Amino acid sequence: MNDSVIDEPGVGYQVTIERTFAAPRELVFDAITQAEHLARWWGPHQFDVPFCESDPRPGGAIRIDMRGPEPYGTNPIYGEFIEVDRPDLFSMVLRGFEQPDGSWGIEHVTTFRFQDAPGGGTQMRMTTVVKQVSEAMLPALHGMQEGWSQSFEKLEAMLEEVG
Amino acid sequence: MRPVPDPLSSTFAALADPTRRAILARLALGETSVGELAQPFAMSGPAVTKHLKVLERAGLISRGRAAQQRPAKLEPAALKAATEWLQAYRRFWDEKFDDLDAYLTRLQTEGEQK
Repeated sequence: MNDSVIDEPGVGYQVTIERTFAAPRELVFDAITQAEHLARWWGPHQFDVPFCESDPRPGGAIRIDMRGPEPYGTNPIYGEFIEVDRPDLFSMVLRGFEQPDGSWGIEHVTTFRFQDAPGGGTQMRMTTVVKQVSEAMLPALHGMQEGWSQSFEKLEAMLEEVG
Repeated sequence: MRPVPDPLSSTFAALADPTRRAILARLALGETSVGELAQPFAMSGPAVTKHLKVLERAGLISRGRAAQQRPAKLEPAALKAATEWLQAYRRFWDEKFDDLDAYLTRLQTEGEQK
């Protein structure tokens, strides 16, 4: 298993992703928690973020509109920060894909931890515990994946532009 | 299996409890009676039965009809759906973090750290 761990073999209820970024902890922390940064990387190619607000304090709100090409439309994501201790960790609850009955298609609690990587840079560990996910979400999620992989083909061009 | 309004949510809710995960891990080895399940957890039969009911409602296990013990059996389909969801979620974030990586590089190259 590379950089992700499902809690126990075959009995997954949470997912953990580990990544190392070549940037100091404060910058990585800010890039994930501050609206001006979030809006710049959250949407991959073809998707953008027309609206983003973030108040990284315990109880502070986070709002991200992720806009994709047709037929994806705009998906508003709502949430609140739970614990915030810059630059060591933060946790937040995120909800998205509101269903016709007012329930959430997805609700999960995600915790990010940061520490200095041994060889320089920042080691990030993200753990998500799923609270709620609707069966109706599955097609949307698969559609989204398709969207991502299509846009992935254009990532190279994007990296050139970015570099 | 009784139909529930939101199968995946029931699955994740059922999986959120460490005892129930341990019961599932035990059942992965094969069909087991309530008595056998209770032993390693130092739990009463009724307490185990309560957990089994949650797992059964979530479609994660089925119970045999034979005898009083009604041996419990793992039902892999619900687990598979949950695992697939988590894998799709992981892929989503993996790609997001690729973008973050590129963005961080760009920020530092520009020297516009905030």
